[in-house]
Amino acid sequence: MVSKIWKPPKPLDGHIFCYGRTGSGKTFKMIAIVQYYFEHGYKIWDLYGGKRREGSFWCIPSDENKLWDDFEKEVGILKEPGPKEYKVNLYFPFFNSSLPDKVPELLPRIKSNLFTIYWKDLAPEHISVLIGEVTENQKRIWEKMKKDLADNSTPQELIEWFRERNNKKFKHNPLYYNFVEPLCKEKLLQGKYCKTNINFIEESKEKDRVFVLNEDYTPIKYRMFLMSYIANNLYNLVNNEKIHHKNIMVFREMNLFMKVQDEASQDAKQKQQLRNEISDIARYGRSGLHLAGDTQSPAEVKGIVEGQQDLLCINELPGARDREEACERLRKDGKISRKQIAYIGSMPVEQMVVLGRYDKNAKLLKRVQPPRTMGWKRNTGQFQKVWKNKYNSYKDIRDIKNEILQREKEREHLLKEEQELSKEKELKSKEDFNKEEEFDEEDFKLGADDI
Amino acid sequence: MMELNLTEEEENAISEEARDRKFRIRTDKYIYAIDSVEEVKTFIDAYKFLDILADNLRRKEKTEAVAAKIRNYLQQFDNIYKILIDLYCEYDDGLETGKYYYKEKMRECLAKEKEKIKTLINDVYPIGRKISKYDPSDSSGLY
Repeated sequence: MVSKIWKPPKPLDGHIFCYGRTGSGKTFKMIAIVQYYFEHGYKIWDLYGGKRREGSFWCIPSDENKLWDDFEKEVGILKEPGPKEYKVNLYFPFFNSSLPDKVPELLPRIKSNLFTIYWKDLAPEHISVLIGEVTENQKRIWEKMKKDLADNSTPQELIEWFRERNNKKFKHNPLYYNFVEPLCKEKLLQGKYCKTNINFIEESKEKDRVFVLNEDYTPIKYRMFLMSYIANNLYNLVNNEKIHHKNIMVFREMNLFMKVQDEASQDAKQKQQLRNEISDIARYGRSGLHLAGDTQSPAEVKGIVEGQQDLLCINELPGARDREEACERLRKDGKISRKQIAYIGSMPVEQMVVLGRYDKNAKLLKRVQPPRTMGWKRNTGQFQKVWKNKYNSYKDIRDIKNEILQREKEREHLLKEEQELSKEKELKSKEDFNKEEEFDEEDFKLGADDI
Repeated sequence: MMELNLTEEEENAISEEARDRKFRIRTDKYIYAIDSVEEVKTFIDAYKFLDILADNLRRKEKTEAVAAKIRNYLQQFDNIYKILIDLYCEYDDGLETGKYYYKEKMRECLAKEKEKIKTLINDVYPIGRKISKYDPSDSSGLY
């Protein structure tokens, strides 16, 4: 039978979910599909690279020459080379204690940006991913802070606010010691006019560039917070028509934070918060903000994303339970047969079963196009190592770091001057007041003598 | 022996016609014919493919010239085609006891006209299938 070319559904109405055991190639294939949407004008926001932090591999074209040769033998002459050099914007969150002096950059194709967050942009739902559910009291404290402090307050001012007489009691609150203090000390939270504050509206305009959140220098405990912050922002911007409606957020290994069963873990509450947010986005943010995620077992994300997919991709699932979870509803709807479900149990790695929202039946892709960029491999290792070997090109960020620290010092100096000026004025007005009192007494005495 | 030298335009026109009319050549047997019977069948399929294709191309003004070219090219294979198709039909329709005989005959013919048979098969192979220009930017695989 003559093979037909498969194209993912366009436009994308819902989300893309890929299931498959470890080593089934689910991430590879998901990225290949996401790359199709990139070519059709979708802005890609790669927010989570999984345990191996694979997001930054968008910078490096695929080196799977044999794979592409085999693919070409099957599909015929390629119109253009398979491996591709994408334009990428790498975003490094500003964590002062862990950022090195230089970060990977290869202009003009690969741009690196340090980014900070305007602290007043943060809402309780962002904070909750870090400290657990935000109480009413904590919300009040946060609102009070926002009211008391100026828009361009520095991180040090935020910390100082908790040292003021009336606010000292709040220092024992997790809002302070788990959120404000560490993020201010790291200089991630900044005032409104800080040049490094991330601007999603401007970034969204660059559809020809892939946004990658690089977590190589982000302490693990803050990663979910950053994902939540960016995802929430995009959700709000799309819903408020501030950015266009063709955005895809990419999450590898969604089970790491979406796993429903993992209630015993230490960061269970934070994961729960992030899970709720992502689920809300999946349910309500469909028109304009799409998710692309992969996970090993459908059971791990059960109920959270079910029914929201526009494109369901099933790779090899040896476990009967996983196959049942992924396929039972489809089987009842007559979209897949028992024989096909059994086939999924030991499917070759180059194949994948796909079902679009409006497809009557599941399709078996005999050959999925390889991703055009590199992925993690055991023999090549993490992104930083691969980058060093291949490009060894960096951007010196010491000036940017120093500028931020310098700005804080200047503001501190300015505030001190203002305080001193204010004290002087106060002192002067007291003196003036005292002089007036003396003058009246004299007048009175004179008046009395006169009489 | 005359060769079928087609320009890229002519190849595209042929492929387009073949696609529209759903003409197919089984490419796996082209390259990997496991025995003489299969090879003969492949030769017969290739001849028929070109024959029908030329007929269809003849009816369109812009491809008339290509049709004439193919027709002209095919003429050199007419005799072998007649012999082999007869043998193949006898082999296919006949009793089991006779199959060996006809298989031998086909093998002899193949040995004698090896060059011509291979030429036709090799010439048809690239045009019988779609000249694929798979676009990795606009596709994600095959099903």
